[in-house]
Amino acid sequence: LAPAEATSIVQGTLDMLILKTLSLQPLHGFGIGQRIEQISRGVFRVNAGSLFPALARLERAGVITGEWRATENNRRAKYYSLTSSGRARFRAEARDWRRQVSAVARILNAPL
Amino acid sequence: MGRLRKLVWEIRAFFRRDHMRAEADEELRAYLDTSVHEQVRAGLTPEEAHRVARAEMGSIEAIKEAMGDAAWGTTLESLVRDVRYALRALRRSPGFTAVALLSLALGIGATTAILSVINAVLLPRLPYARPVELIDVYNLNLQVASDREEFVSIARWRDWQQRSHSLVDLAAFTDPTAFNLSATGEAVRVRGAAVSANMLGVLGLRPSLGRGFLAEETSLGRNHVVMLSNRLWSTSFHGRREILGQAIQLDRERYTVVGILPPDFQLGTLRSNVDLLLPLALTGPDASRRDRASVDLIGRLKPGVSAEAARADLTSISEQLATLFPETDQGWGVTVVPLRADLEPIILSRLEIFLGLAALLLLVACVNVAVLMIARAESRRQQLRIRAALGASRGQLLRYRVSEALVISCGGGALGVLVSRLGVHALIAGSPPRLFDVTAAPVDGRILCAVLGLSALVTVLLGGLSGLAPTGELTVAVHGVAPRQRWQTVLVGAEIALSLALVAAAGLLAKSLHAISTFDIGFDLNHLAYARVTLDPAMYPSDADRIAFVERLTGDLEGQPLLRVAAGSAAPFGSEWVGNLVQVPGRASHSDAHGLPYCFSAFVLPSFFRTLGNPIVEGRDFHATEAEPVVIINQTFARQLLPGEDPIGRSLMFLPNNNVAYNGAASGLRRIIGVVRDVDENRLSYNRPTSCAAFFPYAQNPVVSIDIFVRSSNEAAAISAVRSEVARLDPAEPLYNVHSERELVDRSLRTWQFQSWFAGLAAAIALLLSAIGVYGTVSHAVRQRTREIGIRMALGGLPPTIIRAMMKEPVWATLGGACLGLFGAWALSQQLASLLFQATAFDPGVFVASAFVLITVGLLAGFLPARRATTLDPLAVLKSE
Repeated sequence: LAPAEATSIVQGTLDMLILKTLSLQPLHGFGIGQRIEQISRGVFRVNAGSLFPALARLERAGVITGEWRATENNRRAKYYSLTSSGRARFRAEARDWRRQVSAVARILNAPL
Repeated sequence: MGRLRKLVWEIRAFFRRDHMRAEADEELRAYLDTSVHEQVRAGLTPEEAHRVARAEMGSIEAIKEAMGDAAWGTTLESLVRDVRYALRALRRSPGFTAVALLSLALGIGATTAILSVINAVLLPRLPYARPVELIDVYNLNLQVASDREEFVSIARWRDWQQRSHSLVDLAAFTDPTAFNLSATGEAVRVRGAAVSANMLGVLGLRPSLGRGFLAEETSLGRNHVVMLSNRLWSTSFHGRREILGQAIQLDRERYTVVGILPPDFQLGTLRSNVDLLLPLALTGPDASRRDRASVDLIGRLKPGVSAEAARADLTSISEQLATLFPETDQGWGVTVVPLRADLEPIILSRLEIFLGLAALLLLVACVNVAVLMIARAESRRQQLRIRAALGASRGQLLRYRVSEALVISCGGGALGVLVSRLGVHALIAGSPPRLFDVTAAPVDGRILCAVLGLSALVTVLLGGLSGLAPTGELTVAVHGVAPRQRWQTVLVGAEIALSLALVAAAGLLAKSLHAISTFDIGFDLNHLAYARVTLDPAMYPSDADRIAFVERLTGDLEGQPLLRVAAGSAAPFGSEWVGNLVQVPGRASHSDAHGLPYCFSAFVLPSFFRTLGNPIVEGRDFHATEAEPVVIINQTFARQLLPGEDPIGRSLMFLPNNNVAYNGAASGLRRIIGVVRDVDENRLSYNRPTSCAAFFPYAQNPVVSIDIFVRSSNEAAAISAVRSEVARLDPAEPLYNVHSERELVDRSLRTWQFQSWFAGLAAAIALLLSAIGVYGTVSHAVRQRTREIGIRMALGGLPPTIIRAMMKEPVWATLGGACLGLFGAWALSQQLASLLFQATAFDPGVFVASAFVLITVGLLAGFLPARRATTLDPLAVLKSE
């Protein structure tokens, strides 16, 4: 199913990716991992061991909030959604990220 | 906002920990299920799918831990973890925990209880609303360089009241005067003061019944209204409400009762309570005279204004008044004193000293806990080293110690609150009978808070931080011999030293109590009672009338069997004295009256000294009739005014006194015929030097108030004989102020008993705590060095050698502590000097005895566990390791 050469996520960007997935719609833990994998076309795989502590940390920081709901297979799961401060934080982090990426790209593309 | 929400979340998370764990569990299981479901959809068999999903997920428990850390890895959580750890560790050594908790509880409880009772006994609560805002205001005579506080004239008071910016209001009252109240059959002597209409308002009080005075009741003609004290109302009027609006007779004038004062009412800090209040007359000739100073003032500061600011305000008004009324107001300033500060200096110094003693006791308790904690830390050294070797940081180790100290000080504090409550009851119930009047004292909240805070601070600082030995090498820790405990020796020494200071202080006070109990006070107080009668000047206008009444009364009583009778205007330890300024003829006269010596004056029948057993030491007693003006002086008078001279035959000039109760005839030139032995009532009551006293023949100066003394083995019967005799001679005259001299003197002795009782109690507890401290450290050291002892014994070490080895530190601590303690005791005794009767503060006997007690207790407490070490079986010891 997953490509064997899946890359581990760049340090510190997991939070941002979680926020991005949740900015589209509320999701449970497995859904978040799946969505990240799908959107990155299998480049990033998030294992439960880093996903859930990150969710707990974000919930404590008040940027996401959890709610128990039934899944499509009629199981109870905790669905996370962004709070308003989460949305603001996501925008700020995304902006920073884009700036950094373009800066790194410029450096890499610079003629020597 | 964010921070607040985070805090709320943390607190919620903290209290819902189990719930949150269960939630995490369910969430992870849901994840696993979904994962399995997806694998099956991708084509794996359920078993394979399950295996793959589990493998991908890793340890669920580890994830839960990580989630927990992410969510609760907070200060709150780690604090709780430390406390839990400390609790678990303490539960494992119940002996240490019990001793530490109990000694801290004892220290905290005893300190708080002693201070609470002393506070209640020495500092009667001022029964006013917000007493800190209340001030006394006095006139200050600027021309005489003295800080004597003087009366204020009514006009001047009104000016201050109207012009001040710093005061809410300023009320005035006169000194209480005595009245004969005849409302209900028999006459009663009562004390009443006149007050301005705003008095109750300034004090923040309401009448418990009826109303206060109205403004218009301060004008002459309308002022025949009265408020009764609650006590007088319930004793003389049986608490009947109908008394409101009715008239009572005071000195033959009619006054209408308008209100009843609240219970415990008192006027200013006057310890002598008043029975009734009258309105202060603001009209009439005297009220407008600026040179007629007659009132004392009580003001209420505006919120936030200091007494100092009020003084500046009133001083500037006084300066304006001085320019407006130079005749009368020039040269007068103002003093402002917070109402509390009016306490007698002896009470304040007593309070300070007891605060100091209590602080010492508390310190002993805290040091004791610290000593025990260090002993315990030593025995856990290996455990801590293993922890350090396994990667615990120094900070974490420190945190364990501090949280353990915190847990102990909180637990000890909680127990201490309990002990202090019990202690207050025990102190009041267990103290010698009639040591003080207080029957119940609340545990003072401020004292308790201060004591708890201080003990927690000291315990944590000493117990948590001291003896934090370097973690050292693990190998040494496992095999080694326990290192010497220098810190512990120092602290035990400090504990011994502090206790020695306390014991010495208690010893000095006890010695002083003994001295005062066996002190010859100058007269025979056994079976001596007296009561006062005050003749109405309207009924006994002339000297001859009064002399006739007193002589008939004493003559009739003298005829009764077994009764010895005397009369005089001043009873030792009882009545208020009047006084005169004295001039010694032939001496350079002083320019102003303020510099003249002052003596107390009494007017006595010739039988006075004989009946009281107060011996004439020089010259002669009064004869039945004296041809010329004569006087008998006391020894202090002779010593101070006529040093080195033979006083007999000398003449003294007594200046007139304007007191109403005193008709001024004592003034003039009088010849000294005798010197009477001092009655040291000042010394007994206030630890002050004896005052000069002069005694005049009653026949030469028949004052209206006279005390009738009777000596009889049945004091009560004798007094009732006096009462019926007075009633027979004049039913309108009440007999009042009935006292037994023995009781009065015992009451004066009470403060002495009281202070040595409390100091003794504090010293005993300190002694007990020190013994616990020494015992605890030595028995810990024995347990610690069991292996060493076993080896020594196996190699042939004899018990004395082992005891010597075990006793080395306690001996050093005890001897060093005792030396240090002697310095401490000396320093403390200097502070104590004002409370000591005739005892010099430096008393080698007491010091040496205290040091002996402490050394004995310290060595014994060390010897008992050390001796136990020698009873160990070496083989068993070595095997056990």
